[in-house]
Amino acid sequence: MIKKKITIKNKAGLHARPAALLVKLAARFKSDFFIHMYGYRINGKSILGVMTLAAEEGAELELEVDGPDEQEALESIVKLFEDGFNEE
Amino acid sequence: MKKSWVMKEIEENRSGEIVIEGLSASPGIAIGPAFIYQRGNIKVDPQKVDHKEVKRELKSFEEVKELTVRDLERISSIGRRGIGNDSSDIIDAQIEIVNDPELRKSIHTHIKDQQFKADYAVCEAFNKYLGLIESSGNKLMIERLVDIRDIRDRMVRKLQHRWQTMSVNERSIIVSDEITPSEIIEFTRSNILALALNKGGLTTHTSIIANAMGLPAVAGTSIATRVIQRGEKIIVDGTRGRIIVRPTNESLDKYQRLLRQQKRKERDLQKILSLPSTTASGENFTLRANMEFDEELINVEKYKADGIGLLRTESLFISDGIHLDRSSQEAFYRKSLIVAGQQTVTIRLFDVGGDKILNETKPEANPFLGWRGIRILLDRRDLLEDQLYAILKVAGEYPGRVKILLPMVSSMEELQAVKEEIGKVQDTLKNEGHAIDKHIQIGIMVEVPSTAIQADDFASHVDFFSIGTNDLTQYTLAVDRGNTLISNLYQQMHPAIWKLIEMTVTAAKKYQKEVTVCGELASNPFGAMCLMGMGISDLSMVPTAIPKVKKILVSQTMDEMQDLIKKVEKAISYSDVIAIVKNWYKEYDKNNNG
Repeated sequence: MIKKKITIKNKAGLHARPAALLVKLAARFKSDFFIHMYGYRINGKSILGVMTLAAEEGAELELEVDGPDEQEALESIVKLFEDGFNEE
Repeated sequence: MKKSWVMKEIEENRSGEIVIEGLSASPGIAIGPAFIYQRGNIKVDPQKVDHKEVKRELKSFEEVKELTVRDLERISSIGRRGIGNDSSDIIDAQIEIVNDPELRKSIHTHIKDQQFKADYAVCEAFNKYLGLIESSGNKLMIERLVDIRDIRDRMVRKLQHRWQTMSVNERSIIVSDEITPSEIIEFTRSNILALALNKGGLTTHTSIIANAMGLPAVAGTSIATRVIQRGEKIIVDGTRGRIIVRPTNESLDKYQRLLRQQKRKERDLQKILSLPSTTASGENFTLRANMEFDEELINVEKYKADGIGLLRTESLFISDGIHLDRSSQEAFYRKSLIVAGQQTVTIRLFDVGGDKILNETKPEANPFLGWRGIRILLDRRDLLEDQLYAILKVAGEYPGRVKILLPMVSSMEELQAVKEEIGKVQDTLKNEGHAIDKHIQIGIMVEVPSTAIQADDFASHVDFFSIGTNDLTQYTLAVDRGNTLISNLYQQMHPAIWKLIEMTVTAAKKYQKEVTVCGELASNPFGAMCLMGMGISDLSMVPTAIPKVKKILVSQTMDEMQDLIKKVEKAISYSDVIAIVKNWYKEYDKNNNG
């Protein structure tokens, strides 16, 4: 299991479109994927779960990936966050 | 669709006229009596079921889930082609919601452990999330609640089978809080004139379908249902996004004039469409429709297409490799044959990329040069067999009217393998006592350059060629048509493409086989003339292109079109071709306007 802390960069935060991109990407990997925020732990493959976080720009969250392809999965997911979900 | 909210305001002048501003969801003008449509909120009771019925409830939930995803995927791809990406993004998010694993788990728990009926289980599971998102206070997220509720209601209604009971007044303007795509399709049977809606969140779906149906629509007004009274005459200006209630005589005059103009345009269009399909020198030609979705089929009749020259079947895939069972496929094919009247329907076998078949496959480095089309079908015989069974069964019911088209063929072996499979399935059908069409026509797409080069070899083994100029261009010129960096290099009228088409036509003529073109080149009036000049008189295109192509073809003699293609074939560069095109249009405009 690997973990990484990350900050949301895109202005609009984790709204519907980025959330859809995120779960779509996560679904491509076998590993389980969870997001920790404000003491909650939600399934990162669940778009409704991601939306309930209502994470805004600057919010800090921790990614947790666990499974056979965890390294690759974490890298791809981190990249999506770093690229600001290709929003601007 | 505009993304931002438009300021809504009511202007009431002394005469009592009210103008409601909203979003232009679909252009056009309509004047008529208002019909206030109220669907009523969904109603669910916490009903429990016997433990024996739990399995059935689980199954109906899974079925409705699949159906909902399929509906959304259809709308999403219509939207991508027609309206742009903004609306499709929302629909994509909705698809992810329906597929949400946690939501599914929660619904299963409600059904299995608490033995609730599926509709109640769905509602409960959704409401938990709706409550959480609402309490987050995040404005952007709260705006999307309408889309989440839409999904919930859509699924609940499907589970309750409450779709069929809607009726509205003939030739009225529907005024409603919001409206679903299925409702629009249902209402067009009552010849409704236009839509006036309070909400905008769902106009994504609404505007896509309304546009496809040619139905004027104004959305996002907030107040339409409160201001407009039942039965009163209103004006919907879908082009400018406004509704005029209790119009003054002045406004009525103005809009009646605009409506007459609109109708004149429609009549001109109809006039062109009702002309016989013959050139100025009397040669016949055939213009057919390219079709993909159930919802589009009505356009075959509307544009008086000579049947369906390309029926894409990719929409029969739901997601993650689930494809529709044989009987659902048959239903789709039958429907297409019914709308085609006495004409033929050319059904192209699934032409999908590998990502649609197996969810777990890694993205291919070059998907367009990868595992797709016929290559997949030959590796996945279950798909091929199911599809052939459905097509051949329907073909037996309509002998002589179904043609089978194979996508992405690049070798003789592929053609032979599919033909063998067709023979086997025909035998199965015969043994089961079904009628079959012994002489069903089998053709191939000419879209891989090697197939055009080998057209002479293929010609004696097929009944027809269908030239797909979109992929042929992409493969011949090595230009990815989705790549914006090189979009200027994507040239369907490139000299090399004309040469490959010419090779295909020559081979077809030699063996007296039919040849049609179903790519964008056929829907371009200039391209269509050149193809006619080459001897291809059978063209298939998006139905909305039929009027403009027909208008040009009926105005030209065969000699003129042959001269034109001779000129084009002499061109050695794309800019030469474009110069010929520009010159031709200059002459044409001079002769038709001056």
